[in-house]
Amino acid sequence: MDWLTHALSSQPLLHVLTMITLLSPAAGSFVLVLLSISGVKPHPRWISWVSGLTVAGAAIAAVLLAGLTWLRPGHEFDEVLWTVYAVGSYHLEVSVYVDSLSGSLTALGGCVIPVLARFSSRYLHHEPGYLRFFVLVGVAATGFFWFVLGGSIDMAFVGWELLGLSSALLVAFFWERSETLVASGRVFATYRLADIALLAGMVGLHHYAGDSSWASVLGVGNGGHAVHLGSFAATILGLSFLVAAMGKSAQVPLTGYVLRAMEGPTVSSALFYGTLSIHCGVYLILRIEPLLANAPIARGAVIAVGLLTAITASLSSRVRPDAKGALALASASQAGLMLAEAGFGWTQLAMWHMLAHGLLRLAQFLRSPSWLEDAHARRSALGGGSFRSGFHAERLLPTAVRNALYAAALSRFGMDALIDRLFLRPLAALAHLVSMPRPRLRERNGRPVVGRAEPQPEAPVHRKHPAIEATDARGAR
Amino acid sequence: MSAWMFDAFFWLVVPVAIFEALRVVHVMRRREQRWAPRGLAYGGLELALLTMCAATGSPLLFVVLSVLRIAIIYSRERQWWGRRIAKAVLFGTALVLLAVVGDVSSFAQLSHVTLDPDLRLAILVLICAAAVAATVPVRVVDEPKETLSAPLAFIVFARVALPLGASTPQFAIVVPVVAAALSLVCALWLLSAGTRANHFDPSVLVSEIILCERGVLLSFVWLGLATGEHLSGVGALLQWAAGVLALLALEASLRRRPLPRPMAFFALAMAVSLPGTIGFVAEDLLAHGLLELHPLLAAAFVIVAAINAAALYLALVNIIVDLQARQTLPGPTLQPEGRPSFMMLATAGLSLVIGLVPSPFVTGATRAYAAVVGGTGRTN
Repeated sequence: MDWLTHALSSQPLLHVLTMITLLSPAAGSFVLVLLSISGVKPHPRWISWVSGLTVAGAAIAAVLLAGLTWLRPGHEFDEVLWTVYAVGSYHLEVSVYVDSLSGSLTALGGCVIPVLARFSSRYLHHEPGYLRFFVLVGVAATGFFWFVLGGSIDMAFVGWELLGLSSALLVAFFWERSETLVASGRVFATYRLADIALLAGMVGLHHYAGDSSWASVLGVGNGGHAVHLGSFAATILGLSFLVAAMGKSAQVPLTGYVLRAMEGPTVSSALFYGTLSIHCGVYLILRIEPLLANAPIARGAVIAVGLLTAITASLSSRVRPDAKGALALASASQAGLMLAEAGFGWTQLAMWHMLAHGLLRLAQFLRSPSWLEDAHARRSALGGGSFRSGFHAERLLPTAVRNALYAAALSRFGMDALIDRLFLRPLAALAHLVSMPRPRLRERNGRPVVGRAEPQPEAPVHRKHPAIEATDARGAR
Repeated sequence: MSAWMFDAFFWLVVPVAIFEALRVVHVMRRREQRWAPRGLAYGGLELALLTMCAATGSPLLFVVLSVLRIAIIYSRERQWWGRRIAKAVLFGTALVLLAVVGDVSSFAQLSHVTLDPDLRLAILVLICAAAVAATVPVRVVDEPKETLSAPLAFIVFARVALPLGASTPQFAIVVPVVAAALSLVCALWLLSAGTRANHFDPSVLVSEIILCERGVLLSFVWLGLATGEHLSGVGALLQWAAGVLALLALEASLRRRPLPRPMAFFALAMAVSLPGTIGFVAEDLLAHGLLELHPLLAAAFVIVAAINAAALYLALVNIIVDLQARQTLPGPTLQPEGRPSFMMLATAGLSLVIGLVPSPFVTGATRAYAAVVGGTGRTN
């Protein structure tokens, strides 16, 4: 059996599997984009075929990659695939690092993404943005695999960015509605905050360690080879990565954006806020766990943020009237627990927790549109009768405390208001203050107007889709 | 000494000049609502003048060409506007000083000529002032008439300020700090436009977005070039090309009705340097070069880039929301997507190609940087 394992784990095979995992979803998106701009209107079945084929290819390769890594514990696959460009002594390299941690999350992605793609092919059938959805799913899958398999923080950042933008654009999927666009703006702004923190960590890692590859900087897989970072540097880096994780995994005080993100289609909510994206922050903390050994303050902050989120998000999810909102907050709460586990150094527990939670949440999100129907079916199966709410520990509390907690949970403990007051309003006020020298607003017909632009030819406003207009016309006839 | 310099820097400028010329043709066509020989003629003149400015080694010929360009633009727009005159006066004075007082007949001499320190400082201050004038996003009404790449200011900055600044230690300290502050101001202005966007007419908001984004991107270019670091210099040259492509794509998509929303969002992705586009390569090089110089500068660059991206997204969202609010029918309606134009597809395709296969273009930018600094830059 050993010879088989050894043969399967050969470098060329791992190399090919990695390349398929990293490039296949991107290739699918690229083909769909080319089809869309070429003026060809592909049949929805072809769209789902192209997407399904490329995503499934990546998923199979990802699962195989993870399986081969698990078969040979202690044999990490660390390789530079190619050099993107070089200027002087600086090189940007595409490198991968596959160990049990990245293999686990890759396997989760490999299991989840094809299921979602298949589900979406029927769920979003006849939606106007059908092709756009599959393009973005391909981009998201690419981003996820690049982030998880990336052998350096630079590579991970590439995936992080792709994941963030595709997530915001999928929140804006129903862009005929203004609310979804505004919500996607909030999601994107939160992701940019996380991006700043990750970039700060990246800059810090380059500055303090002079390198960015996980294997050499953190000594992942071989602690003896880690670059020695002082306590100060480790704390700065740990805190930077924690803020990045807080943004991606919806931790306190940035939890609120996941509720706005529920404006997107259920499938994308499941993809990002149930299974993959929400775990990326946890993965980042698990990845840098060796760094935290030298940074007790950062470790304490990770535990505190995780536990605080677990409590607040759990309470808020219990008072949510909508299924998706409750699930999103519950996901944030579980991610908080995983962060706390990572902070305590229980990395294996956090890893398995992540896998189990991802799969459970996938099923819950995908069933959420028919939750009521499911509940009725369950009740019928159990012989009818009234719904029983089960045991709630908060009932043990005095009524006054319970009411106060209820009110606080409803307002999500004032976190959103706090963020607005501490960051958004001051930033907006600063922006307005700085832009004071601009041409000032002038009142015209009671509406403020700035400047006068070059007159643009007015295009006719289409109020209805031509297909609908044609149908209406036929109806009138 | 040859009066013409068909070096790698020239070849970096030529594609941008072609796009600027196409933009002139496009604006003329839109204004006159049909294809007109006038538009083609003005586009051809713009291309000829920009390429000659990029190729000339003579400071005085550069001044003559820029005056000629101003005259041609006047005949095209039938209007003078302050920013263009101010820029031309500032860098024109610097070049005349260089040629007459400094006795420099070709830009190629600058890497080894010894100028009086006061004269060098005066020339640098004038050129930097011209760069600031090109960057500050004032006068929204002028946006459709302005170029998106500030090509003359860029050429003068690269050809003159870089070799002169290499022997002026303060240049690599003061200019990057000023450029970083300027980029923050432009990003905040964009944020201001984005957050109060509902007060604007959508077409005014587009001008506002383009001007502020142009300010941010040009500030990054000055920031990278002024550091004198090899990596950030190469990154800044690429950033200039990336910025022009992103701005052209943004303008082409945001001005089109019905709004082609997928393309508008792709243009946004180009402007915020999504991995896979040329902007990402440029920002990566720029950030690493700044890191070599000072981590705080790199951090400032990163923060401004993030604020800029969020502000741009908000502004774009507000444009779409505004356009939807103008529909008289209540509730969501299905608007057909606008078809992407040639300019959108060309810029997006080029950005993707360079972003996915960046190596030859990075090599070209490295050669261009070596051509302008003439061995005076610091390598990493």
